[in-house]
Parts: sequence; structure tokens; C-alpha cells
Amino acid sequence: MTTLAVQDVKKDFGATKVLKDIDMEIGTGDFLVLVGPSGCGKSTLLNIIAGLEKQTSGEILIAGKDVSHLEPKARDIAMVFQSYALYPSMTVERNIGFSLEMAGVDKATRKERIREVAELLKIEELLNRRPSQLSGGQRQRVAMGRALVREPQIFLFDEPLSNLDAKLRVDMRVEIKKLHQRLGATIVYVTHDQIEAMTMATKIAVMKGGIIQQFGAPKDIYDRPSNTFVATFMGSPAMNLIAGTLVSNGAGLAVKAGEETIPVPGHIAADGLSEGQSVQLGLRPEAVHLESEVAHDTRLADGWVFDRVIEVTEPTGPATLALFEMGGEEFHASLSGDAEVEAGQSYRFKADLSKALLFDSQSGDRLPHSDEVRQSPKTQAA
Amino acid sequence: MSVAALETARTGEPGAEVDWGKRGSRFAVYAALVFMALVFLVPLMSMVFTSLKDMDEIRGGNLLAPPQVLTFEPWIKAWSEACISVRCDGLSPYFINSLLIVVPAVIISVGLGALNGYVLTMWRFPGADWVFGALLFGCFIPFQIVLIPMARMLGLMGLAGSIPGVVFVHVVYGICFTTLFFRNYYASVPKELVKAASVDGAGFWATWWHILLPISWPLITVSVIWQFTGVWNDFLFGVSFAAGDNQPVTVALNNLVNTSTGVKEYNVDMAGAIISAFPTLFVYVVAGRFFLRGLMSGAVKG
Repeated sequence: MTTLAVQDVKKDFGATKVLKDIDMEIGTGDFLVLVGPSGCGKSTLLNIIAGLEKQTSGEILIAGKDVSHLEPKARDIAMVFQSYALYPSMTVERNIGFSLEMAGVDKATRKERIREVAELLKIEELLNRRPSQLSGGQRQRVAMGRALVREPQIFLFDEPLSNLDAKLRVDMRVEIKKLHQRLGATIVYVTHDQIEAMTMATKIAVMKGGIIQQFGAPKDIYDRPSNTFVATFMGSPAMNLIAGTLVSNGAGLAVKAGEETIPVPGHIAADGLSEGQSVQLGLRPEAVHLESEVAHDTRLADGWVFDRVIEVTEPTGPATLALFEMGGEEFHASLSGDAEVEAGQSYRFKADLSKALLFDSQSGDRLPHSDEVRQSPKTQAA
Repeated sequence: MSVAALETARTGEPGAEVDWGKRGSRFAVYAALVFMALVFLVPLMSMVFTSLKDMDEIRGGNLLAPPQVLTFEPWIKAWSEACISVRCDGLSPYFINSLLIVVPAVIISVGLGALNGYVLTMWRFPGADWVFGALLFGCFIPFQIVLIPMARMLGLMGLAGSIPGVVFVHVVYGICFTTLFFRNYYASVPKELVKAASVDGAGFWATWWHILLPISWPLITVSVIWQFTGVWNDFLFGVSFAAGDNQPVTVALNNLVNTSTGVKEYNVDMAGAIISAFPTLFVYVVAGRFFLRGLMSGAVKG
């Protein structure tokens, strides 16, 4: 069942077009993450869904009802803000119950609902405190309690974790995800953090310049990004892009980039490709290994082998990041944590091409895989 | 002095030599502060002493000497018996006039200022900056300039010479300042609070009443002190726009002190001056207690 539908939404601020034709739908229980760099329009879109800003044109439907011109309170939504926006003069209890108070719910019912929510979030002992007496994580919980108590159709989260320290952020991420699974709630969540997007979402909308670049499941977005922007935005370190031209190498086509010749992997549809076309080959850092470590791995038998001098190594514990140069660009490889590599030394690498992607240099769009060609040349939203 | 003692002196550990230079400068600071405090307190002291002496002692004695024989007669006279123009009821009726002026003037101007500040920051409308600019301009208009137009206006409104007329003038002047105070304060309040209230179903008035006013205590206190002091101490508007029995205490005090008939009663004058000044002192002391800081901390990211 469709819980939220955004139809042809546009938003202009004077001459600036902040949102251009946003169209999307999510069903009940979906966890949609709007992700993108600052200024991509994701927060504006969230505010429009909430009714805090007016769209220039287009419709918002919540549970089948057109709410485009309704006040926020009439939309059956609840929102958690980046700064939490707890009411400073009120106790936690009154903060959580404020929406019910405004809706004229009687005191006994209010108390009961607040108690349930407090129990769910494990903040019963904080009910009589004021926001100034709470830690960051506790404030976060209270802000969520304020949203939960309303039992809305949709929860809206505006970068709720960005004010927390790194450890707490990971904890709260898990907590929000648990809550989502337990309540089966429908959530729209805005973040600029692609890891939050990947870990929490059931659907991701990657935005840039007021346009949804790609809308899909996290795995699809990661494995089959629709263009170079999505490819490099999602994933850390970013996907490596090797610019080159297509040449024939007897057996088939290959990407010629400087001295390297990289065979075009078999999963990419050959139909649309032509010799001399300028392309970018996308390779995730984790697809590159030390040749010595994967020499006997048969799955990588037809991988691409090359030699490079490592410029910088960054051991992170579980992985060691190696940085070297490739066709004039920086290239990141995520090696195993045990890899014994030193900066300044030359090593032989082997890249797994089974997940390599090919992008058109002009448009930046990904060239389709062979399993996508039959349905349509581009399955992604543009 | 042994080497060890030198060491301790240099590192400043317990038992080290007293640092006379540091002590001396500390003494100088306190001496200067005490001197300044005395400079400010001596006139007040002289006023209190004089108000408690009888006229014979004042004529014969030292201005700064404490009274030999305590008398509260001048206070009683100033409050309820002294003749001001033709009426011999002391300052008390005029003191009440001042209260009747200051209470509504302060409440209305602070309330409107808070409301203006709220609208000008959270519910901005086209031209809001112009309205604010015009209000700000009002802060810089000298009182004397408006006397004649205001007198004409009060006449047209039927408020000439009355207490409500004086209240009106003070409110008009006051909202310029109170709006400035509240606008600048609310501008520092995160907009997300208002957004959250809006999602929670609070409308224009509920948001102001439940969310913003309860965190405005520091500003309400500042505005009340500012307005109370200004209105209570006002002489010009009182003398211009309040007629006869409606005059505030400042005007009455002037009439009491500047009376040109009979003997000059310094003790009564001093008692009257202290009585007239007392409410502003009282407001400073009482309101200062409510001057709570840090109410905002914890509303947003800490």
C-alpha cells in the first residue's frame, strides 16, 4: 500500500529552482532515506512533505489523501529535527505530550501514552527533567518520543544523528533501525551521510541539484549506480573512475587508459558499445587486492593485473587503504587488514572485474548491463 | 636565604615568601573600589541623614553628620501632609498616580514588544524589515519633538490631561525599545522550535504562549526594568500631558521642592526624593532575582 506519494513537486526560491519534478512513492513500512550533498534539496523536500514549506507546484499524498495544502498538524506526520527542537521550558513529559495537549487529548490518556512511549525508549526516569539536564543521546530519544506518541502515518527525520558523537551515532542508528523493524513504521529520513543511508534504508533516493539521481534499494544503488555522481557519492572511499577509450583487443572490447588495457567485463551489454567511445571504468576500492594474496583464488582467475607504487597507506584496522596513481587520478584500493604494504614500494595488484561498471564519459550515465538491456536501455530514474 | 628557600619562593609553593608586589596591587584595587563606592554612596547617605533630622539640627550642623535626634516627622509630612500647589495631602496621591501610569504602561509595552518580536522573527511577512526599521527609528526620536503633535493627538482621542493619555504616550515610545529587545532575542532562538510546535499542532498564539514566552524571562525582566525605570522617572511627559490631580510623583516632587513660599524644609524634600526614587530601586532588587540565565541551554544541540 502506498503511504507517501510525491507527484511532480517543484520548488522555486525566486529564480533558483531548488526542486525539479520530484516524483516518488513509498509503501507502508518503507524506510526511505533522502541522501545527497548540501544544497541538493533533500531538506526542502522533507519540509514540503511535512507542510512546513509550500511547494511551487505538485502534490503530496499521504495514505491516499491529498495533503498538499494542509497544515502540518493535519497531515498525520511527526518530525524529528536535527537540533531536536525540544521545548526548553517544559519537562520531558510535557515535551512528549505536547502534541496530544494541543489536540485536546485528556490528561489521563496523555499520561498513559507518554508512559508507553517512555517505556519503549527506556526514558521513564527522565520524564521530570528538563531538556537542559539531558545528554545528547537522551535528547535524541526524547525527540523520538515526541514523534512516536502521535502514532502518525509517516515519521520524518531531518538529519537526526548529525549532532551526536561518532560512537553514539552508531548506537542510535541501530536503535532507530530496531524501532523501525518493531513498529513497522513508515519513515522518511534525510541525511548527508551515505553510511546512514546504506545501513538504515529500505529505499534510497540519491539527490543532487534538485533532482533525484536514483531511487532504489540500497544494494541496487551501491552495485548499479545510475551515473558517476551516485557511484562516487555512495561508498567510502569513493569508487575509482578510470577514464579511457574503448579499443578492440581481439577477444572483445577493452578500456585503454594510458598504458593499461582493461578488458570490458562480460556482464556489460556489448550492444551499445563502440570502438573509440570515451568511457569511465568504475571500480570499487574493495575490488582491488594484492596479487600475492589472491593468486590461488579461482574466482579472480580472469581479474585485471597491474603494478603500482603505493604513495600512501592508511591502516584502519579491518582494512588497509592504499593510495596510488592511475591515469593521472588518485586511485584507492582497500586491501585486507593484514596486507603488509609500505609506501614507496611497488606491488602487483589484481582487480576483480565482476562488479566493474562502465560509464559514458559525456553524460556520466552508466552503460547498461546485459541483463538490463532486454527490458529497457535504462531502468534507473533519471 | 638558603638555596632551598629560594627555590620554593620561585616556584610559589606553600611556605614560600609572601609576594608583596601582588598583595600591594590587590590592595590598590580594593582601595580604589571602596573609594568609588563611597563617592556614590555619600550623597545618598547625606539624603537619608538629612531626612531624619529636624530643621534646627540641619541649620546648625554638618551635612554629612548622622542625626543627633531621630525624627520621622519629615517622612510623614512628605508622604501625607506637605502642600503641593493648593492640595495638602503630601506625595501619596501622586505616588498612586505614578503607579496607575507605570503598571499598565509596562505591561502593555512589554507584552506588545514580545508579540512584535515574535512576529518579526518567526512569522515574517513581506516588508517585515521595513516595519522593524520604522520601529527602530522610533528609539531615536527625542521626546521634545513629539510634545506638540502628541498633545494634539491626545486631544483628538479625548485623553488630554488624563492618566490613560500618559500611559498611551509611554506605550508608544516603549514598544520601540521592547520590540528591539525581543526581536533580537527571538532571532537567536532556533526556528526549528517553531517548526516543531507547528508539527505538534500549536498555532500562532499557542506557540508564543507555550513555547516562546516561557523562555523569555531574561528578556521580560530586562524590558520590565527598562520600561519601569523610564516611565517612573519620566518628568517631561508627566508635566506635559497630565493635568492637576493626575500628575505623577516626579512632577509633584518638583512642585514640592520648588515651592517659593515659606521656609525651605530640606528634611521633607529629602524624604520626598527618597520616596519617589524607592520603586525603581525596589524593581532592580526584586526583578534581578528573576534574571535567570541559561534557560535556553539544552533546547538544541548542547
